[in-house]
Amino acid sequence: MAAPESGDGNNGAARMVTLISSDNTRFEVEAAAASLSQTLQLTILDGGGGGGDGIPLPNVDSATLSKVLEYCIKHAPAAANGGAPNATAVDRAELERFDNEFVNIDQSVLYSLIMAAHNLEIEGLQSLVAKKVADMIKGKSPMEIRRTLGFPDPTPEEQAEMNAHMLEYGWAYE
Amino acid sequence: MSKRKHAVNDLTDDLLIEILWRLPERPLCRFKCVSRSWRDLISDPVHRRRLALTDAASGFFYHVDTNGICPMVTHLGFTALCPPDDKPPPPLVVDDPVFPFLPSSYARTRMELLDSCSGLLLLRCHRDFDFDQVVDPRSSNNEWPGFATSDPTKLPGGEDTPPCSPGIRSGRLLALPRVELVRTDEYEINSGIKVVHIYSSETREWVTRNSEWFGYKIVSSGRHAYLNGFLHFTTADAENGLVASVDTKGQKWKVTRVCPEFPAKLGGNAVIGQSQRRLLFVDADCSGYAPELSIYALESHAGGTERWILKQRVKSLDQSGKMWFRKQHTVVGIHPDCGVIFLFDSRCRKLIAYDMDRTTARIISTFEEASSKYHFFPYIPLHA
Repeated sequence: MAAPESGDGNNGAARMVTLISSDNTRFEVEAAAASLSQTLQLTILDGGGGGGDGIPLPNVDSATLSKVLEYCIKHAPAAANGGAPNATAVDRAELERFDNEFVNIDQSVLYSLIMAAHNLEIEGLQSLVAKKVADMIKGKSPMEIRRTLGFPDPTPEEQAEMNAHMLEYGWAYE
Repeated sequence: MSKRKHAVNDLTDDLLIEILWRLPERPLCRFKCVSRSWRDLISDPVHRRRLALTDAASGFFYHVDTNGICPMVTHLGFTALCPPDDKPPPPLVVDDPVFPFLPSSYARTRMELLDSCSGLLLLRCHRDFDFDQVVDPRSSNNEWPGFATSDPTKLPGGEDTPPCSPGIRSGRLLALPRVELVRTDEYEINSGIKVVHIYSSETREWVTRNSEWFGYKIVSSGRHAYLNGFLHFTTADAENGLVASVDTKGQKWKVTRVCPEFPAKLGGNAVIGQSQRRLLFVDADCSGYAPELSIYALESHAGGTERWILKQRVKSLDQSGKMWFRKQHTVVGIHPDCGVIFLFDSRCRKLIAYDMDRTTARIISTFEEASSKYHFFPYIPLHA
């Protein structure tokens, strides 16, 4: 499980919160990591999520949430430092490597992730995934985009519409 | 465990826009063919507005009746290259107090659009003193990466330039793939360009050089192009076909000449532009009974010589003969990615895209305001 490897002998100074996914799985994470989510941050600042009562997230399933938390845990230290100032180039390179690998996943997971990121207002994650999807369709023709993104086959009617449009704006597709 | 798999169709409009505006592709209508839902999404004026100021869209900022004065940004309109079907293009910028991409600290600053090039805009800001600012609307942050200030009081080599010097008459942002730009100062209108300032977004510095185009005058804004390390300008001697060029370090200066074969001649109303890695010189000759558009391309020959070669001479913009090139047409831009030349019909107030490869023409938009004095600033960002 993505339950954090947090309490590394650091005597529990880090405050923990519990998040509950839509399918009732409980995740315990450091408040700092969960606070990457603007939505959760408010709840946590109000003292929510501690002790026995977790914060329910009815829109996020456990598979997605564990992935989201993986991102948050990795990014929490950098975010706590206010991003750049004392982050070394090595740290930044490491985060970048992590990000690249992190989005190297099945498309359906990407969509779940971006929706969760939107929901929880985790800006960094949302733009990371958006960038990834944009990269997937960059430079492709409309048909290739359909295929790449797994659109269902167009109805004959839709196909005709598309063809007509292509014809009219043909010069734009060079 | 709920294991429903998500598909792209589950994404909300906001998220799709979030994805699309990161794309360097343009024009945007390419995506309209992906599906009906995408088409509707992109046709939505609210979304178009956001996309238009990012990589995903291109078009023209325009202004009416400038009388030679640079337009205030508050009075600019924007027309996209691919307007939504059946509807007039929505005014994208005109309602805004300022460009939406400007930081809020600029909310009360009077600003004029001096020039545009390759998706960069050159603005003149009037505050305690006047200064020019290069802006890349595609940088979506609140900060301004890729901006540079060319405070005239601080320009290198400008020791003798008092603040707000009236000597700097027109800033010109001159073609570049997001890297360099040139500003020319016309201290003396009649003796041509004396000093050229070249800005590089890489070094974020201006270099200043004395012009070596002796006696040549660079013509009004929009008549410039960047290709292969050189900036090229049409000159006020355009009827002689003179094109002045300088490399971006300001070290190599040259002048090339477009020589039409007798009896053809140049109309003296030429526009220069980069298209598919070729430099094009498009001349409109309206002097005869049948106005003509001539398109030349600069070609390199063995030994490093360069020559302008005539590619096309057209009277009819359309094979069917429905649309003829006429006196009221002016060339306003050249598409960098395809052989498309943009013309404005000042009588019917229509913006036309002429496809020189297919020899077809298409009306992009029709403008409402009754005036023949439209001025266009192409906004066609280069691919990242």
